[in-house]
Parts: sequence; C-alpha cells; structure tokens
Amino acid sequence: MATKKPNIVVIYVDNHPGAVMGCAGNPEAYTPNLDRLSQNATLFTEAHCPNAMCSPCRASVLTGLMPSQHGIHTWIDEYYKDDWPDNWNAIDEFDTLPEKLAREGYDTALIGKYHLGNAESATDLFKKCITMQIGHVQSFYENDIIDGEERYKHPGHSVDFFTDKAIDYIEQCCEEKEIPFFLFLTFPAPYGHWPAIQGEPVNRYADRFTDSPMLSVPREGISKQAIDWISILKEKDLDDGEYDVLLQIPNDLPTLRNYYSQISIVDDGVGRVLEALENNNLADNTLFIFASDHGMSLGQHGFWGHGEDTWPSNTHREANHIPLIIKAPDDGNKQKVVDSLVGTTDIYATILDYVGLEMPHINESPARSMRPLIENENIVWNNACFMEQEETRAIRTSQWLFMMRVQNTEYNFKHELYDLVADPDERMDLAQDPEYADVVSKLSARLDEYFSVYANSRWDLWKGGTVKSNSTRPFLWKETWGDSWTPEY
Amino acid sequence: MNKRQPNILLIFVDNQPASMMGCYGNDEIFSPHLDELASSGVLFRNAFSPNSMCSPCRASMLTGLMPSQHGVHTWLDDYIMDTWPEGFSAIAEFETLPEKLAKKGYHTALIGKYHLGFADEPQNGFKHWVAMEKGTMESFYDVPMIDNGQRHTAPEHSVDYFTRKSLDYLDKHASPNEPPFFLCLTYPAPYANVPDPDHRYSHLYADLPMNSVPREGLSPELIDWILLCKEKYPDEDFAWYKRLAEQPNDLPAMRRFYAQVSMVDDGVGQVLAKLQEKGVLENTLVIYTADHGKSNGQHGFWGHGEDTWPSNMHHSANSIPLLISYPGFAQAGLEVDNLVGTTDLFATILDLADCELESPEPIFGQSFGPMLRGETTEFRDEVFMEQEETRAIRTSEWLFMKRLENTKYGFKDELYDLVNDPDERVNLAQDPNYAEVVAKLSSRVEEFFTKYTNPRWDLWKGGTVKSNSTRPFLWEEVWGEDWTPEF
Repeated sequence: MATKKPNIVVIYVDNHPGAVMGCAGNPEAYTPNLDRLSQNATLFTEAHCPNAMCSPCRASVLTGLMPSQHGIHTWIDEYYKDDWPDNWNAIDEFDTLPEKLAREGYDTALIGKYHLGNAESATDLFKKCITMQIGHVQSFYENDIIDGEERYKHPGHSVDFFTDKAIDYIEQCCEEKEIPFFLFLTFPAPYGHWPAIQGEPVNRYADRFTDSPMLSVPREGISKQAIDWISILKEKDLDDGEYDVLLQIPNDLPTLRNYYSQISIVDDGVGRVLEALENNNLADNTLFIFASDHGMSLGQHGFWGHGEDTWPSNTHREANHIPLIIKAPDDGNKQKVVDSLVGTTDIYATILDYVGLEMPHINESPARSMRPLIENENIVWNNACFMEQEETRAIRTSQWLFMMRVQNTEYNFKHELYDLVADPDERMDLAQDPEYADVVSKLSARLDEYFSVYANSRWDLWKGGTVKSNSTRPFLWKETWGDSWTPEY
Repeated sequence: MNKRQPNILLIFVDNQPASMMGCYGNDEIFSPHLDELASSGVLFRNAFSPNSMCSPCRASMLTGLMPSQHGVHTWLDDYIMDTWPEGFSAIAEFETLPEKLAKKGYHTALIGKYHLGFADEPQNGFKHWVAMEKGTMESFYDVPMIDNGQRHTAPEHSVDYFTRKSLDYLDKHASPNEPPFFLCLTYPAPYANVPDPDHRYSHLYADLPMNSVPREGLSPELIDWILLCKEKYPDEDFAWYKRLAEQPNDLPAMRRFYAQVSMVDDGVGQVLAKLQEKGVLENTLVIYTADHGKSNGQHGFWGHGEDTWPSNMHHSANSIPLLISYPGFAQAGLEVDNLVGTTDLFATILDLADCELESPEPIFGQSFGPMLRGETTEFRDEVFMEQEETRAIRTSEWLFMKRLENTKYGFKDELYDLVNDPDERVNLAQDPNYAEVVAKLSSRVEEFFTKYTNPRWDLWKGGTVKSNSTRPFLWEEVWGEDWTPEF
C-alpha cells in the first residue's frame, strides 16, 4: 500500500442547488454520473454554504473562513477592476488550502473559474492555472482563457474545455507518480443566469428536455421581497437593467430546461474526470469531492438565484443548500448518506484532515472535518450551519431556520423563523409570534456568539466594518455607518 | 318571423376573458349554467372589448361609442371622487342604451356595479337602481350599496347579493303581461385584485394545477411598468401596482380568481331559473359578456392591457366571452367565429329591441342580429381597440398595435400574424418584409380614429380624458404641463 498522501480532486461548480440531482430525488434532472458516484461515496443531504454568492463561497472553501472573516461578502464585480490593487488577489493574506498543500509536497492546479480578484493572481495560490479572465459568466462558449503564458479563447462549451484540461492534468500527474496533486476544478456552470441560459437549450442534452413540463420546480409567483429588491435598486439608481431580468426568469420554461441541460453537461464532465482517475489507477488513492459554491432558487420562494436578490436578503434552503458528495480514499466504495448539517468551510477542514495537516484552531475557523461522519465514527457533531448575506445572518439546525436581520437601519427589517420539522418548505414565518419568543432569543444568542468569534472587525458589516471590493447594497452601509463607508482591499 | 319586443337581460361581468368558461374549452373551470346557456344560444369565439379597463368598456356598452368619443380612457378613480362635478356621470351627455330602450317602453334596471360616476341616484335612464356605492372593488364582502335610494351594507358576497336583488326585481317585473324589461346585471366579479376568503366554490379549485394558464415568466413590459410606477407614483399606489408582479403563477391567486367564475355561474343559473319560473324565458334576449378580458399571466402580465409599458392589446386582455340566447330567434348551439366588438353588441340590442341606431356621434357598431339566426357569416372583419398610448386593429389575419410616436419613450409598433402565430409571440412590425402590411393597417387605424374620435377626448391629438388617466405624466410630457383631465 502506498504511503503517498492522497490526491485531492475537488469539482466545485457554479450555482447548483443540492436538490437538482437524480440521487437527490429529482426525477427530471439527468445526472447519471453523480448518481453513480453517490452509490460509491458519501452523499451529504444537508450541506449548506455560508453565503449565496460565488466569490465569498470560493474564498470560504479555500480559507476555511466565514465572509465576515475573509471580507468577501458578495460577488467580486469586475466593474470595479480599475480600483483594485495591482494583480489583486482577494485572499492573499491567508494561508490558503493550495498553499498549505504545496508545502506538503503537493502539485496544485486551478482549472476553471477563479473569481477572487484579478484572475492572473491565481498563480499566487496554485502552481498551475488554466482559468477564465473574467469571473462573471455571460456565456459557456468562447471565453477568454489564461493558460500559463498563453491567452486564448477556448473552443466549445467551457465545461467540456475544462474537463479536457483536467484529464490532461491528471494524466501528466500520473507520470510524476511520487507527487500527490490537488486539482481544484471549478466549472463555470450550470450558472443559471441570463444570457448564459436564456432560451431553449442548444446542446447535446437539449433533446432530453424538449417540452419537459419542469414540474420538479413548482410553479410559484414572484415574492414581494424580490420586487422590493428590484425597486430599491431602481430607487438608489443602482439598477443597470441587469437586475430586472431576475423578475422575468422564474417560470420561464425555456430557461429552466436550459439550466437542467447545463447540469447534465456538468454531470458529463464529472463522469469523464472520474473515468480518467480510474483509467490511471488513481481512484483509490484520491479524495474526490463534488460540491457547488452555493445553491440557487429556481423560483422557489418567489425569487431567482441568489439569496441576496431579495430585500432583505434571505437564506432560504434553495439559496444555500449545496450538493456535496465525498469519496474518501481507500474506503472500499461504500455508499453512505449523511444528513448531519455541514458547511463549505467543513470541506476545507476535511481535506486538511485527509492530508494529515493540523486542524485550524476553533477560535480561528469554524471549519470541522467531516471525516468522522464519513468513517462512521461515533462523534458529537454540532448539528448547525451558519450563514450570512450582508444584512441577514442565519442559523439552520435540524429543527429551525432563523434569519436574523441587522436592526439599526431605516428599513425596519424583520427576523424570520421557520419550524423545519412542521414546515420543511419554510413558508410560515414564526418570528413575530410571541409563542416563539424564547426560540428567537436563543437562536439570536447563538448567532451573536458565533459572529463574535467568526468575524474580523474590519469585515464585520454589522459592527461598522466594510467589504472587499464591493457590496450589492452600498447605500445600506453608507446609511448605517456614514457616508464615508467604503469598500477596501 | 315577427320581431317581438323581447325582454333583455344583459349580464355584464367584471374582468373575465373568454377563456375562463367550460364552453370556451377550459376544462378546469366549473361553469355548468354558462355552458348550458351557450348550448341553448350562440357562442361568439372572437368578441373583443374596445379597451381593457372597466369604466371605458361600460361606457362603450351603454353608448356604442369608442373611448376617444365618450372620453373615458381608464377606470374612473373613486379616490378622487371629491374632484368630480356634482352628480357626475361620465356619459350623461349621450343618449344611452337604457334611455333609448325606455323610450320604447322598456322598464330599465341596473343591478350591480356602475363605475361611471356617482352611484347615489339612478343614472343614464335606469329606473330601478341597486348599485355599489363605489366602482372600485375593495372586497366582495360588506360592500356599501345603494338600493333605490336606501343605503345599506350587503351582508353576503356581493355576487350573491346582486343575484338576490335580481330575483326580487324579476319577481316584480318579469311577466308576459308587463312591459318588457331591460335588466343590466353587472356582477363585480370574477375580478382578481381583491382579497378573497374561501367561499362555497373554493374547494373545487383547491388542488387545481392551473394548466389552463400556461406557465410563463413576467414580461419586461410589465416590469418596466412597475418600475415606472415606482418612479411616478406615491408609495401607497406603488404598493398596489407591485402586486401585479406577484400574482402571475401564484397558484392560490389564480385559483381564487377561477372560483369566482363559479360564483357568477351560480348566480346566472338562479336568474335564468327565475325567468323560466316567470314564464318569460321564451321572450327574453339573454346576453352574457364581460366588460373586458384579463391576462392571467399570458404574455407575462396580470390583468389589464394598460398594466404594461407601453399598454398592449394581446388576446387575453381584450378577449371577452359573449353568449346570446334568444329562443326562437338565435340558433341554439351556433358558434360564430366572426370578429365582433362591444359596440356591435350595443347596435345589436337596439336592433332586436326595434330601436333606431341614431346618434349625433358616428357609431361604428353594427347589428350582428342576422348572424344570430345563422342566416349569414358575413360581417366586417375588423375590431378596433385603444388604450391611451396604444391603438390597435385586429382582423382574422393580423393584430397590429400602433403606438403613439411623439413621446420620449421610443415606443415600437407590434404586428402579429394570427394565422401562423395565433399566440401572438413573434412581433413582425420591425421586419422590412412586413412594411407594407404595417403601412396598410396603420392607415386603417388612423382612418378609424379620425372618424371615431371627439377632438376633446382624442389623446393622440392634444385631447384629454374624463376624470383621470393612469399615465398623466405621459400626457403632460406630450401636450405640456397644463394638460389636465376634464369632465
């Protein structure tokens, strides 16, 4: 048996809710490879990301930190590129996962979207980078690529392109048998926003969804909070027309079909990478993780996409629930389903654990290794996930979802409380019901306590802190903390 | 055959597109009495209202005139009632349908919603008068009513209330030995924009999938309208407009709306049974129609054609049900595909009641009486519609929406090929291949609105509106800041 450290492959996709996989019980999603993987691995049914935007979650998985610790509270908007420091890397000050692994002798590669600052700076963290120049996805085709010294537009669909590159990388690594590798494969799909998924799909999975009624996404009207968000953007003169479409997309069947077809393309990429690992006899000695940066409402709860696209922001299940399948090295292909509440930062700790690295101190990071859950150890697991979306901070337990809202604003935001046992669909807000005052105060205290530890005052928006690069509600923070409030780096 | 002078029962409901009835092919709606009425009479597949708001269509029904002739371009806003002249009726200057019929010896009655001015006293030649105090619907329950001078609050659902009042009326006036009656029964339902607690028909719709309304996202034109309302209107008005975006695809809202049709259907059944009981059914012209249509989310908007920016005349907004039974005259079970409009119905009623269609204003409407007998299918193939900044013609081949040009908004015309694109999805107006079609239809619209307008109420030529417009900012921008509604 090799004593070599395990290879690590993390396929980290873009905006894929945990419920849209065959193995999650969705009859319309076509994901044969993920379904097969789940039969030989551990499927986490209650994995939730700390934020429902791309950049913060990517930062959390690479640092094991919450947004209020690493400072990235929303997607990093390339519109502000000119303000960024030279070759800015948003998590430069942290000892990141790839850097730790490199010190352990790993070869490290980022293949896919980076979206944590200037994409050229990804080489500060990863030895090898094949990445997209722009983080914000407009199309799956012909994106500008940074590939070592080369700059070009990739051919075909970006999932296929990055899959090809990942397989090339795996094969190259095979030649250097003694060196373990960490492949961070970040598909910029299924994505779920126009224009990338506008209109009926035109790809190899399109036929499968022709005329599909899309009943796995229940029909539901637009919520008041989604409309309020668009109207406040309008009022604050922040609406550049891109946000309006968030009200047009829900219930648009061509878009839903297109989105599902993108999930099948992602699934295909996952299948090909797994096959490459097997063909190169690497499957047994590889820690393989499939996850998404964050979830995505497909119209559930009356909004589209991100939890920040309501006013106030929300952490409903669809926005923060992510798919998570982990195949541990040398585990004999056991199928397992774990319903403990786990989070994105736990992925970070789990990787460290399998590599044999020291866990971060509990006062520094909320990250917990999921290895005992995978290996069936009898452990006490703090069954809770914490989330934050600028003005909303939330805790999810097996019984409750509690969204706490920042109070010192002119908007009079209300908290929300859902009883997940009686009301798993999160429809009946109990936070204003006096009968639940006790529950509210206990959960509030847990949130306060959590964020008193896992926040850096510089990036703690609730206590006068700021954000890196940009916020989607700068007006709120200026109103709350004064006109001089401004993003930093 | 000899033309008799029939009793006339005009059931004129509030916001019901033709598609919301069993007899029009909707398999989710429970409307047995309406379906029965259809099979005992004539069903018009292609009936359209001239506007898609309540007050203008009611005015057109009672005067035979287009909005640009009678001056009512949108719903009359009860919230500014205190600006109305004393005793205001928006159609006081015209000789109305009830006035014409009264001259011919009819006993006339309005039972239901009026929404053309003050409802305290009988208006426009109606003698018997049971009406809601206000035109704007706020609830189906506890509605303040004026019953021939007496004020009270209806204890039951207002549909049931008006049914009860109609039965009382018919008990007194429906008799082969009495003068003929004209009962205008204007139910304030199905209506879709008020809170609506469960009633005896709600359970029929509780788990309905609502597949009869295809699932579709919101249109950019609806969102533009809502954001414009945010910019132009006070917060409390915006709160109302915002709901236009919340209701499409909201299954509970859609089911509540459907359930109201069954309430109305129930009332229709009771009223028809009363005609039978009184022995007058054989000599009664029964008409069931609506003020205007309503989008249930089709084309990405909810409700009125004016609730997009710019306003639209898509099928769902202006399509109305039209059922006519007249035993011994109208051919039972006949279906008519010809295009007819609200003002044609005005002309037809006068024709069947043996009244002259004389008026100082030009009247576009024509009697389709001969079609009711199945004698002909010849009828002019066009209807015209107008919604402030949009004017339209619909033929069996085309729907053309012409937009006002002299604004800062750069509104575009729309053209749909109804033969190849019956769902009105592909706008051809900007396609050079259709330039000739556009030019021809455009001049037909212009010609029509040259003849059927009063310069005073012609918004496209510097005119104004009665009482209020829903886009006063537009008319102030176009015609100057002193543009203002009149009476």
